[in-house]
Amino acid sequence: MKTAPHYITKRLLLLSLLLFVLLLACVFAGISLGSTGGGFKWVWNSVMGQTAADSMLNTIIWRIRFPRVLMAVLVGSTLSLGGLVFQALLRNPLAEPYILGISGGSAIGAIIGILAGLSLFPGVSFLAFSGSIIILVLILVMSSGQSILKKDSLLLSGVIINAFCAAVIMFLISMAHDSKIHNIMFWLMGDLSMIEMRHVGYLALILLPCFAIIFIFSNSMNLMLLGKEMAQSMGVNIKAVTITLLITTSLMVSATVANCGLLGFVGLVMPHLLRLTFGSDHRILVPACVLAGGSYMVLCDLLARSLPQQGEMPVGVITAMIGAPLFIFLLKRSTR
Amino acid sequence: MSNAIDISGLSCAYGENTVLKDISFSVKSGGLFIIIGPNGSGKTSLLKTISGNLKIDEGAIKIFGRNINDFSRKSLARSIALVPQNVPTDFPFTVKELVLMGRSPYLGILGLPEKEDFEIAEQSLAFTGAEHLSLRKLDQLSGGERQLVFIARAVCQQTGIILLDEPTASLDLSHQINIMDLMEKLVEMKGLTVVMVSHDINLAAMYSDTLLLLKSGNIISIGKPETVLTYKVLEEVYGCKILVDESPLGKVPRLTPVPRKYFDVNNKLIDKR
Repeated sequence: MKTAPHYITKRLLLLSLLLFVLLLACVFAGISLGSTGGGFKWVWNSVMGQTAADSMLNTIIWRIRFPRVLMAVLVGSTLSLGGLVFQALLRNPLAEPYILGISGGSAIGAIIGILAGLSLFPGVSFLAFSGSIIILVLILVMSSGQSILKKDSLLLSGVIINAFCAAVIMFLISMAHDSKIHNIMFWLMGDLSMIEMRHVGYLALILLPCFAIIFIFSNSMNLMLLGKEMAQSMGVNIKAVTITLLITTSLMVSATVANCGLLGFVGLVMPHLLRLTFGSDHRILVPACVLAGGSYMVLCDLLARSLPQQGEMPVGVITAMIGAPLFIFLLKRSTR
Repeated sequence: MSNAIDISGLSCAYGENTVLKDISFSVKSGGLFIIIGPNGSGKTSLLKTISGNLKIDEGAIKIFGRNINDFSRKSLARSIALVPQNVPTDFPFTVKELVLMGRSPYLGILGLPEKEDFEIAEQSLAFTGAEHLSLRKLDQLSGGERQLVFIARAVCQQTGIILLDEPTASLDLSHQINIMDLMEKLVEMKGLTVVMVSHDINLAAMYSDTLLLLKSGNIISIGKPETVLTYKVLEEVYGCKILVDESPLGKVPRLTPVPRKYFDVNNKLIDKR
């Protein structure tokens, strides 16, 4: 006899619905607010099909702001989820694609691609992916053996790799022509301002299957948090799950880096906040990270657009300013 | 088929290091089987091979008469549950969530439990006397409580065999007895085969049906506590003076390792009584 969907499923659906509404609200705010006007009422009317007379405003909102907000959603989801997966696999609450240098590796690949004059897809994206995989292997080798789970050695490897990546990036930039430097610098700091709808579409095609794969393995991640032996003794194929998740995560992180540059600490803020609120069950946390991570990035982008008196700042500045202090707080707490 | 585990000619290595050397023995179904031996004797490695966590280099392990290599991961997980030492708790699940994880070998990849699984989890918690902890988080539990709920998780896995790696390590006396009584209850009331590694030989002597004494990857002795725990064998294996007499509880051997200050210059034991 089948029983009614049980409380984990119910809880999952309820929370997802709640966070989805939050995401919709953030997206709505993200589209409505901006320097060139619009406002909630205008957007609402436009969505409701009451064609607005002002075609200029129409273009700004639907051709420029809308793709940008959607991109923010995708990037926020990916980076939060990436942080969550790394934290679970490495069993280290401080792990995150940016801190570990995965993002930096993607950036090197992407810059090489940009300098070589390749198009975003597939050239730059492929190089970014290759860069992230190389760094991933490097981290695993550097902290290999039993020490892979140790907080300090892992973070130290990440710091060193990050410093090295930064050096390579500066080297590449110093070799570049003047005209490209401004673009690369802005992109590097996490930039959402040059997004086209086409890019959002490509990225979604890559990311959505990745989200699904990670959700499928969410319970395996739960079991793996109890240690390798215990997980294996409950039937988890650790090697297969780990490799699948690492490659999937690197793929989606590198795809977002290729599009929007380096956005640090997002993968730290959201998973931590969500874990505090909803507990450690990854079947809940994976969808929650996707939805809430998207909302968070939209709000960060909104701040980046509206804080400066003139123009805007890269959204990476905002995420780092919120994330870095939290990182220090977490580090202090975890070493106590 | 009266044997839960049959091991024949088993050898295992960590890289260059051979940790188990051509070991053969059987564990009868339904009983408390305790593995003892000095540090580095291969106790934990033996437990790992039986749980399928360490590769077998030579020899074979049969679980209820079936070769361990013929099991799928999930079907092995339905036959053997493991309670390792030092389970990390940095990601604090609630006790209920933890115990329910024991059901995963019976569920799909998302591990979504049915009503029945909830009932089994509750029964397991009640069986180990830990139902009052159900809503607590793992990192808020004391050492003894944590051990109880990890055992409840193993019980929830509904296997014929439970393996434990030093479940009484770093527990106080009352918790040690509590855990060992629980092991006995598992054997008597659920008919399980419990295999554990222990450093506490006195505790092992009081509770075990069969003792296995290992030293550097070899079996030194196997059998009832009173036959395994003789002063001569222990002295050789542990490399220190150990007195063996009978426990005040009756026909159970009691060990007393002798500190240096009880020897005179000729290495003779001084009677200080």
